[in-house]
Amino acid sequence: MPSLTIDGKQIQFKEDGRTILDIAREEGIYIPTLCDHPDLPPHGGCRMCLVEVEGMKGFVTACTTPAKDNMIVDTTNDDLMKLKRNILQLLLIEHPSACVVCAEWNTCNEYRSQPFKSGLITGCSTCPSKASCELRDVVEYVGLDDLGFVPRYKEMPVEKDDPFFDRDYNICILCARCVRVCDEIRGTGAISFAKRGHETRVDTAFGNSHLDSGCWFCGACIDVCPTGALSPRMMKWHGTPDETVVTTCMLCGTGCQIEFDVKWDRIMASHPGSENSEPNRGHACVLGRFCIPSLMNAPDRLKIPTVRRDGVSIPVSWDEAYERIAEILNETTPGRIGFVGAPHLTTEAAYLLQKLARSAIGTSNVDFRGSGFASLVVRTLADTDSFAKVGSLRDLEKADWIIAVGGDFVKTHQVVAKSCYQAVARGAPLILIGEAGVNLKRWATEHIPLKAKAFSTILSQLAVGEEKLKGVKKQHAEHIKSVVSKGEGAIIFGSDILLANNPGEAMTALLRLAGDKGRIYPAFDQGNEVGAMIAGLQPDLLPGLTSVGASSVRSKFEALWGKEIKAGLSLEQMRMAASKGELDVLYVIDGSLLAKGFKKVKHVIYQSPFPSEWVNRASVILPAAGFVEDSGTVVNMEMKQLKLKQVTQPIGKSKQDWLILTELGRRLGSEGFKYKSPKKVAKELREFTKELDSGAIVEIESIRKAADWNPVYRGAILAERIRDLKTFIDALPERERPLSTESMDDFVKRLSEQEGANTQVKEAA
Amino acid sequence: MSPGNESEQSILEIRVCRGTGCESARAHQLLEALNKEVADKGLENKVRIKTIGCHGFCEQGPVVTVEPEGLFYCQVNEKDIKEIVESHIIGGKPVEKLFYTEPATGKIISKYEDIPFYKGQKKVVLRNCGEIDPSSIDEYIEKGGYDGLKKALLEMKPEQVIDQILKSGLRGRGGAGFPTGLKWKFGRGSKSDKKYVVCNADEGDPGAFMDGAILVADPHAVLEGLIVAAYSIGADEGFVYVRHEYPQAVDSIKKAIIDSRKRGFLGKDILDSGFSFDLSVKEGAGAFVCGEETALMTSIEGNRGTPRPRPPFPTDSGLWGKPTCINNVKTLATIPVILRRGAEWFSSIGTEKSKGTAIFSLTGKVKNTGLVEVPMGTTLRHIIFNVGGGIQGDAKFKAVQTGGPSGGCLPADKLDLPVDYDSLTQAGTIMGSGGMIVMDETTCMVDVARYFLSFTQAESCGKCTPCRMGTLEMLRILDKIRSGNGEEGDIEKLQEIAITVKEGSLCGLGQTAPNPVLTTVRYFRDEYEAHIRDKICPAEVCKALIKYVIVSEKCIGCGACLRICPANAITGKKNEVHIISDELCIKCGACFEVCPPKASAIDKIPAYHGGGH
Repeated sequence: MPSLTIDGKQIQFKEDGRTILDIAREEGIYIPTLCDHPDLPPHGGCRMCLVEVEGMKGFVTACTTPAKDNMIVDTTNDDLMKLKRNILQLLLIEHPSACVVCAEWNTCNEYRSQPFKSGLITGCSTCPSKASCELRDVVEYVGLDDLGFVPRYKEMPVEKDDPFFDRDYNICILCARCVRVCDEIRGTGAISFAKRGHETRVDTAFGNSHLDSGCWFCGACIDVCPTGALSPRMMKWHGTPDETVVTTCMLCGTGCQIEFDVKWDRIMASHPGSENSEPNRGHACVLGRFCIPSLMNAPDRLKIPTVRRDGVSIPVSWDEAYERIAEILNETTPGRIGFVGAPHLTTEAAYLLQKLARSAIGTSNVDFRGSGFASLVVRTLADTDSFAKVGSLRDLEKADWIIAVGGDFVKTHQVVAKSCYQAVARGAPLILIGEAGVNLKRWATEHIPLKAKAFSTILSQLAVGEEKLKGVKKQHAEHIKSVVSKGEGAIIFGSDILLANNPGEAMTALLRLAGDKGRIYPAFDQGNEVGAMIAGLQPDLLPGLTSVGASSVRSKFEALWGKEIKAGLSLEQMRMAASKGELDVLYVIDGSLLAKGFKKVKHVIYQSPFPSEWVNRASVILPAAGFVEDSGTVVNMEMKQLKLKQVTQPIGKSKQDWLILTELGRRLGSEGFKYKSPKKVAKELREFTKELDSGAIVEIESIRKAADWNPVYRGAILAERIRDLKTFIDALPERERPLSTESMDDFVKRLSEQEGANTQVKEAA
Repeated sequence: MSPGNESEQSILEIRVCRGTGCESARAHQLLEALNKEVADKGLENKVRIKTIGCHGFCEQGPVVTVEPEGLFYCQVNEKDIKEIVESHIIGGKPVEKLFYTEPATGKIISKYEDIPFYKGQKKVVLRNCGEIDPSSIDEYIEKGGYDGLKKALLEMKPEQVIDQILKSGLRGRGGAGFPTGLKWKFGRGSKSDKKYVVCNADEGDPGAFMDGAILVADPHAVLEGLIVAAYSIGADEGFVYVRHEYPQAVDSIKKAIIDSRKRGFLGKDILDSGFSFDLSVKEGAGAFVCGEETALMTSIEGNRGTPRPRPPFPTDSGLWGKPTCINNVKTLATIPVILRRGAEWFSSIGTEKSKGTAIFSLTGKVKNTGLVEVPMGTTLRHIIFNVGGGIQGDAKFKAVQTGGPSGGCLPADKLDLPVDYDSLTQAGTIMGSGGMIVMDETTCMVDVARYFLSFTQAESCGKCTPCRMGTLEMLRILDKIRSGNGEEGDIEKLQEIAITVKEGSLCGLGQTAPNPVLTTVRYFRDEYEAHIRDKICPAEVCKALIKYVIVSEKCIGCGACLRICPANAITGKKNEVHIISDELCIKCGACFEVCPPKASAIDKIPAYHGGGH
């Protein structure tokens, strides 16, 4: 086995292209770095990792030099340390860093452990990234007694015009991590180095705003920034958190692990978790990165149960609320009661909701908003026993080819798009079918801009390897076919597939096209659509994806729950029944449900963390906890069960959904509601999901129309609540505009005229 | 165009140089006039007019030579054309007033081979410059062009070609002097399905114009070298990376590529050898750092031109991760001669470790500026005083800068230094790409160091800290010294930062950027000390350290200075002594220039006497 010596320590290693830095880190030998980042390819710019290797000319960067057999590496000799000190001094000339050489450094740290808010960062004590600053670590290791040079403030205005984050390039040390993560990992390339020499800085093309630059506000640049140059505007002044907790984000179906800073039992900030946590591995999207604290700490959260008396909502105790609900439910025929769950419920809560309906009330009128896509995917997979065909995002990064059907996943599923780009960057061809956004188009090798209607036709044709593809030129068709004929493919698809002429056919074709080795990636829009399906939150499905029609299983449930079970009404059927006056009570758990068609319902019971139009007509309002205040499990688009860990206590008097449903079940006198924690619920549910039995496929109705991206969470429309998100979403259509038809010459001319005008204005000023 | 046989002897060939220097001296108008005059007089069958690339003697441009006699007309004006046609072509009597006059002796020299500027040179790489019409592939072939390629492709294996180049001892002419054969050997040894060759024509040094001149004057030689390089390492695709600011060179090489493609020297199955290769021109956008090979590759790939760390070396992982061999224009232009005349012949020229010839663009305060080629090992003295004709106005030689902003300044006592890679490196400078700037006593060395450093500082790509910040901080200290605010310890501080930048920087730009400062400190430390301690600029260049005064005894009160002063700093009545106000004077020196020589009443004196303010 080859071996090398670092600082006198002999290390055996495998020669596989790993660098000296990699080996040193594995051995616990610290070599200071600033531009290096585990996610990013080596850069070699900061020169902090310089080492001396016997036999090599001068000093070499440990981050870029592959380890070789018999190398003798020195990382700390006097010349090196002196050189590093000098380089660090040069670096600190323009970084407000008087604090690092201040004599009061230690005392100050003790008494001012947290930064204080300031409009201008003048030193560590006014820097929001004080606690996480990597530059400070390096300074401490190298050991600086003085700055060596006259410090200079660059006097660049702090940029606060764009949504979500502030950019203070006076602090920037030009490590290029942000530029590289944006370009090489996320595939966006919204920023780059601009200008030369000492004037070099990070900027967008032509200095445009980030809204115009193609930025998706995923926040990856902030997460890799080693200093305080980039910071999230709304969550940077809380100082050191009391604790950090990781839980699953439920704002879409990806199931990202997000880390929350908690202070005073409130979430202060959110970050993507560590690079080792699946599926997002240290990445997030605009929602997960920036929106959750504002959403969960919203002042208008529902906090107290209310009951409507004489047309007025009156705050009551939980007992009184349950009492009123029991009254309403008991006076109504079970068949005239409907339950509409949310795709944001935990699997446990979803299970309890249908159990409440089926065992305590005796109706199967259960469904959840937007179940069409999950219904299509999950039933087809169950029917064909092909859950194993669903890939993980890690698989996606290794795919040999990718087909993306219908949707701009860079917009709706930024983390999925990141994995997709990783495959593309590795050379995997990307074929787009249907609607697609700018980034996807830029990465794509082929784009077939078909209407969603035609998905079933083209996918079927591709799947069976037909000679011609409808609406595709021969040459392109041949290329596409040759691409999909070999290797392990990946097919990403979203709910637009419901708009196909025959969604069922499209879905089966997808599976066939993926073949034995390929994987499919259903991009669910909501947090736990699959979990809700598995929990039996469907009028015709029992827990474990068993059809109500399958008598053997049904009788088992009937025996367990002591009520006759038969297929209930789906959401659309409930709406239909309600409009005819055949539905009296509606239990609404998803505030995003449209009230249209439900006018004639006598009583609405509304359970949600957020107010919505239902609040005005609800007979009882139950304040539910948000997902960060809840625990349980969810199933993400990879079909993996992920944990939801309670981060904070529920706000006000609100309670977790599983607890509300348990208590309500008990209040209704049902035997089966004795759970002390969601774990007990999960244990019970597991009995039914051990072997996922395939039920009969019912006709799938498509209810979702191809609306533009509009993230919602149980009645909360995120863009209405978070101003920066609205600014961003509003700016999107403009960015999707076709590229200008202006010729290059005209463009240059216009630019120079603009430049001239700008100079004139400046001169005049 | 092919030469006729019957009247070959009687036909005169008039060659008009259209190198950059001559072109900017309006060679194109001259050519037009000549064509018109010849047509008017109906002399088309008596003379042949030909445009050539740089003839070398740029100082004397526009240059016109008349063959076969080899007569040399210099500084030819549009008005002289008529005389040349009437007297020389029709009358057979050359125009003597246009011949070159040797400044020292006043001797008139008619043939260029007798002019010391040419006599002192040895043209190997520049063999065709000024000889052939660069736009004509036939003329190149006639001079033995593409013979080397034929020999390599049809008679030799790639390994044998590499062997020849190794034996010749040719070292990279881009500046670093890495053995070309060895580079090719590495390129050959890399296993890959795709390899590239690149010609580096991104010549950005201030005062250097060798590569551009060769591309304009003899593009096919570069092409031939590049094709041989591709054959040797096994590449099938190549690029010529040339500055956008060299429009002539871009046009020239583009035309050469088209012509050689037509003749089958490029494309599929070249000369039926089974070897295929093609190339394209990539224009750089004017960043100096793109002359650095890794930055150049990043630029070709379509990204911002920033260097990347080595290893991996380009011959292992270059363009798009594939093995890539990058050679300088001059290196490539040397290849065909080596193949044609043999490695032994080539290695007989030059010194033990530096073989062949060195090409310089000789500029600055030297009498004969121009493009010169001398054998390696020639002394600086020979280049500056024999070829270059000495210092303008026979002033005293002070220093010579080689290697552009990456090189250093050598003082008079280094004049007998032989010019080769190792001697120059030892003296603290570098061979560089071939810029040579001569300076006389009116040059301030602190100012020179500052000039070169300001260039590298502004052209630093900003990627690595030592180069980005170190050059800036050095510049600040130099500015401080020049403005009379220098302090004890500044020189040491400069040296320390210089070493940090040299040792800590990522690429060649940063690693060599401090050279001008380090060499000027090494050889002209007293000048720095004069600035710092005495607040005196010995060369009287640094504005803050000089002032202009009117010597009252000499002033004739003509008012010339008063009228030209842009700052209204001069007062005085007609015919009375004038006075310069120190407060208002901006030290532009206009009065100094305008004061009539018979009076020369304006004096430049140190602003501070004996140090201190």
